[in-house]
Amino acid sequence: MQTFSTKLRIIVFITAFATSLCSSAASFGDYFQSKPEIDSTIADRVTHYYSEDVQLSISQQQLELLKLESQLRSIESTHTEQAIYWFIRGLNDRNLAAHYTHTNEQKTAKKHIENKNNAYKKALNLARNNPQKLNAAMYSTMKHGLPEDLKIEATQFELAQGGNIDNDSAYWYLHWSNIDQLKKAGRHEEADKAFESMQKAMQENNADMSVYAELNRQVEKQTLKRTDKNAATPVQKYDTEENKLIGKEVIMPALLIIALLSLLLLTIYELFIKPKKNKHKPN
Amino acid sequence: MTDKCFLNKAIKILGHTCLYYVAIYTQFCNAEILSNDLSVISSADPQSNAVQSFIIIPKEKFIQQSIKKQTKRQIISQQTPFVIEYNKPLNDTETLEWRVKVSNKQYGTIAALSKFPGRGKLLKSGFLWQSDYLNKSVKNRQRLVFRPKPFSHQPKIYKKGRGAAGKRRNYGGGTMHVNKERYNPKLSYTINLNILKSGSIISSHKAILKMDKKDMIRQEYINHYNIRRYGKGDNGNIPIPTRQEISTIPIKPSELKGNPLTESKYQLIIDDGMLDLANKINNAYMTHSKKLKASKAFYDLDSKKIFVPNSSLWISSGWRNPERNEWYSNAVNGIHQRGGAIDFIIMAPSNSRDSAIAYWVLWQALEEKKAYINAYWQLEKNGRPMTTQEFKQDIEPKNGIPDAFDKADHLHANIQY
Repeated sequence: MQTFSTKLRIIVFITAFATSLCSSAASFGDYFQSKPEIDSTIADRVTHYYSEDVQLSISQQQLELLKLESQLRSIESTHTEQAIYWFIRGLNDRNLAAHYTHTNEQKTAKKHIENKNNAYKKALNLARNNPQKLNAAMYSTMKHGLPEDLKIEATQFELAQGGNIDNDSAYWYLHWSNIDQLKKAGRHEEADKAFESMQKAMQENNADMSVYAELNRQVEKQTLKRTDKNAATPVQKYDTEENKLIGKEVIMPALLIIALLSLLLLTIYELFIKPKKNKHKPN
Repeated sequence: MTDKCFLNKAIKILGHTCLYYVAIYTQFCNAEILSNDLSVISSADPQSNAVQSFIIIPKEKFIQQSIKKQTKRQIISQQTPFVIEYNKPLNDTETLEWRVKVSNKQYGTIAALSKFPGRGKLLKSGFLWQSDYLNKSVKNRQRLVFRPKPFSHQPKIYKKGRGAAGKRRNYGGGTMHVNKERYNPKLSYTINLNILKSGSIISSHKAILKMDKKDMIRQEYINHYNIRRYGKGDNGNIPIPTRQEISTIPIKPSELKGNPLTESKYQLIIDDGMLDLANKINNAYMTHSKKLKASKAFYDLDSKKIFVPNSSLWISSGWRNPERNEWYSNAVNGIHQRGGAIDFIIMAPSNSRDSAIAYWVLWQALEEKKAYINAYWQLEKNGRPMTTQEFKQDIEPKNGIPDAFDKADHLHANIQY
């Protein structure tokens, strides 16, 4: 009787577990608009964790993520040359990092972030000669948290595929992002070329310039001019807005204090030191 | 002097005549009844305020009408047939000949409901239905009743990104845009009536029925009703708007930057609170942003001070006609089609630090003014809402800002239906 009850519990648990996973609306194919090229159930489960609020307990989540990690490792040797495989592997490491961040296990989280970045690097390396191996949705997912040069590369591959979002505005903002990143990395010539190609693309796409003129001005003003000034000082390449505010909040008060101190010293000199000096002077 | 007076009078008469014709044309632009002896009933539904209106509802299909939140829902089915009537009494010796010419042969067959003997011919210019000569023995020969034969609409599957030629794909759908595949019809019918006596035509009468922009918009909704995108997922169930629900585009206040309230080419809009919502969100954001700048007390997750950027909000999407929605979004029932949703982008390079901070400020502003805004909103990335975890974690990148704001590509907000 006890055995039956245990079996029943296991069945109920598995059913609940499977139901919670199957309720996932977004499969890998739906979300990334591409075939996973590996066991699709693994890819779907990784995508589910990435894109939706998972309704499992913490321990169930960990169990599932580690199981996925082990399954992915077990097929590594047969998929080692596939960019998509490394993309999915990186995505699972991201999920693990998120999980361990949640459970406050920072060291393990850090390890998985490193694993994620390494997997994404491999995916980018494998796709470099043929960027079509991955699509814009994947590049868009990968770029967050990658080192600057790889982030630029992922953004450029995303752009080359027409952007992930078909919203026109978002596409032009992605161009701006590319230019901005290039400038911040000190790659000014490439940034200038990227700006030219943005304008060319705007013309080709018949973008309504009455709408986008201001955006164009902003790109020119905030990105090109700003970063040219900062070109010689790479330390300041992050956020001019912050620099401006630092100027306002730190430098200005400091100058004011120096001026006040100078005034105070001058007054002390005039009131106390100068008369004394004059006293000792022979008439 | 007399010459001048004559000239003035002539100009006045000419002006009045022009105005008269402009007024007549504007009033009857959908049904140009070019004969005083013809009357036309082409109303597609009882809600329609224009007798000229027509839409085509597939047979045995029942569609919900009235799209806005507050308007009462109705069910409409196959439309009232078109009725064209010759008003003058006829002599027994006179015969009639009716002709219906369809402008777009792709959709162009008609079902004549009048029991007249007739025949159809496919001419070069389109489909032509023609009655026989109708003598006095034919009952109700002065009234032609017909209905467009429903056609099957297959929604276009818009591919994203770049095409084979390496060029970024443009929005190609919607009747009002360049639409090579003609996924939406812009129908019109020319009705000719010849009155004959002893084999010779003694008078001719003409009326033209054509879809106007409102009809075309309504037809787009019908064509997308109950259809699954890519053959899977939810069925489309967005009701069709009444003609009154479609209006001219309101003026966008100058403080609202970005795209117009609609990018559709109809120069018409359905606004179910979208503009009001956009104003509220923009005001809340600007106020909160100013407040944070003044207080200088905005800290990241590592308790480091954050400086609020001067980035404005940018409208990226408002009302979408269904064809445009199909191109933009995977959501077949997306609220953008109802005029109740608005999308905002932060005016900064996407996924930059400025953009992430500004999304965070925006999020705080909305939470603070929840009751005032009274809407639903979510931050999205790649067409999905950010997860709860992404609002709490900071790993991609680790920079003191919750990942949801680093990753977000736009904010979607809609009134609550």
